[in-house]
Amino acid sequence: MNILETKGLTKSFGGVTANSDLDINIEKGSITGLIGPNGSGKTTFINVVSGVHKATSGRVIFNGQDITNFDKHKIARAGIARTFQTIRLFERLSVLETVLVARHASFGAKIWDAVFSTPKLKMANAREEARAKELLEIVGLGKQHYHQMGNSLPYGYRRSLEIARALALEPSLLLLDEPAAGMNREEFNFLQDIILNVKQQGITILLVEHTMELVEAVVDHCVVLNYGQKLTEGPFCDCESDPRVIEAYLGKEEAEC
Amino acid sequence: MQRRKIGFLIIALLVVLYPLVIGDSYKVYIMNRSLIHAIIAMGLVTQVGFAGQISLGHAAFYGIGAYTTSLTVLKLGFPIGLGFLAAILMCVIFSVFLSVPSFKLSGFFLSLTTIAFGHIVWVIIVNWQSLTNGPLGVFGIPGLKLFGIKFNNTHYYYLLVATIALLYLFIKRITNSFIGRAFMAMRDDELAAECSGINTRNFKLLAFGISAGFAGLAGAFYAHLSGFISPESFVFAESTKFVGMAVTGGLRHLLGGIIGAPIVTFLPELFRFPGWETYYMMAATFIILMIVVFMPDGLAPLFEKGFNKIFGERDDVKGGSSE
Ligand SMILES: Nc1ncnc2c1ncn2[C@@H]1O[C@H](COP(=O)(O)OP(=O)(O)O)[C@@H](O)[C@H]1O
Ligand SMILES: [Mg+2]
Repeated sequence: MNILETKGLTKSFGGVTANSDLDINIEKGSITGLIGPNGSGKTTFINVVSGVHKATSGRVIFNGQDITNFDKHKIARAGIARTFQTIRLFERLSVLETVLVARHASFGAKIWDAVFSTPKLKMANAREEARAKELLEIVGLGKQHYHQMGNSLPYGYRRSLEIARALALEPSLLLLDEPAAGMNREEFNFLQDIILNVKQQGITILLVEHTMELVEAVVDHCVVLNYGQKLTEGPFCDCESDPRVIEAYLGKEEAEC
Repeated sequence: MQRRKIGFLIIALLVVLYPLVIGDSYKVYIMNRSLIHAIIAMGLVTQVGFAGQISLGHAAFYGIGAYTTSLTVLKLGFPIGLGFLAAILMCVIFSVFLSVPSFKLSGFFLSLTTIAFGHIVWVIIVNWQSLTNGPLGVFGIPGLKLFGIKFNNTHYYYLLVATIALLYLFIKRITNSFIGRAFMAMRDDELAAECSGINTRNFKLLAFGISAGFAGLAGAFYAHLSGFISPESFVFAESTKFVGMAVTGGLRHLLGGIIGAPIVTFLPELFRFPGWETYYMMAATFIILMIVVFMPDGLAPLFEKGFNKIFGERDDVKGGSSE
């Protein structure tokens, strides 16, 4: 069963067609790799699916429901969480608070609960804090980090914090945009564990990544984009050895030589 | 802990004794005016400092509040309490119009729309003469009364202090809750907040609503305190002064408005040396400019640090700041 299907999904920016007529299916429970050279439209795909950009045409079907061009927060609450290629944390929020932001809907409290500091709110605070700490644990952020500012963390931890914030939505689909970029070896290995751990919890993942080592290690299925179009798809080893894919990645280099 | 309690007690005592020690009714009146402004600045701290939505049009809400209570009391015979309520409600309703542009705009462009809003309201007040009496203003607005006793400046002072204490508790509870977290997330990165499931429109409506309601309440206080209102009290320069108060006190600090308003009000008085009359405003404005440039977090954190140094063992916060 597919958790996400796009049908003829197209996104143009003026003259640039960043996503062109994409039919991409993501199998529930799987890790799908979305690869392709720089500028091939991977981030744009995540942006359109998560509602950050409006699709020019085509549809996005999530769990059988048409969610094309829904508001971002609605898509997030429906169960599609994402991270950003360039990290976007909240500048003046601590690590714990950052994760709690995405728990907002789970509070089930109203403004009056805050004003009158009701028992209901106190219970929700305790419950949500506990859950946020669990999520931070999963991505390897311990007690000592709870009250640090998110942006003051080392680079790899900031990426982990973004993943924890995304997981705080209790998503069924997680979109990761180049999570390994700029990570050192140790962080990289840990990220791999996080991704497999998340999959084990039944969360479907779309992984955009340039580090082929990571893609090879975790993905079940691979989709290759080039110039906004789907070039091919299949198991990673098939894609990797496909001459068209090799050309897409290397073609420019050869031309330059 | 004991020391902190003593510290709070001393501050409470100073606040309570102020009008009795000062004795001068006019000075208490000026203090009341500054407390009224503090209410507006507190709302701005919530809206601008916590929720990240700039407004340079709050004189409009101040005016709407002042005119709503005056006209409902004078023309419709509302009891004053109901006039206050109408003032707040009217401002909250008007805030919806101002929050709609904020759905699309932010920063510089949003501030332009709020300036325009302020100006439109002002032009309406000046020109809708049959309702507002135009530039001449509204006279004979009755003062507050309790058990048959007419409020004097000292009574107003205590009522304002009590009101501010309640409003402080209100915004403290809100900003320290999941709602305040959504405000701050929206302020720091709107896109990331929305992708984290925050419906920022609702929070913009809420932030504008709270601060407009505060400004409306302040307007109502002003009308009944002074007995006379006219359009010149609600010009654009007033809007910038309110923001200036919030910034001087600390835009992202819960005490920012309460500390900023009296300082901006009374600072010029310190420079009223004989022969200096022409320059005292300039000197005060210059100092405020220096505060803003060299202490962008405002005076409240300084106040808090000083308090903790004298009275506190721990470094935590009086009432709790945002961070
Ligand atoms: N917001 C935008 N405005 C204009 N052009 C964009 C925007 N986002 C992406 N593009 C263009 O779309 C194309 C695909 O970009 P992107 O999706 O970021 O590629 P990838 O993530 O695969 O490197 C590029 O040509 C890029 O310049
Ligand atoms: Mg990209």
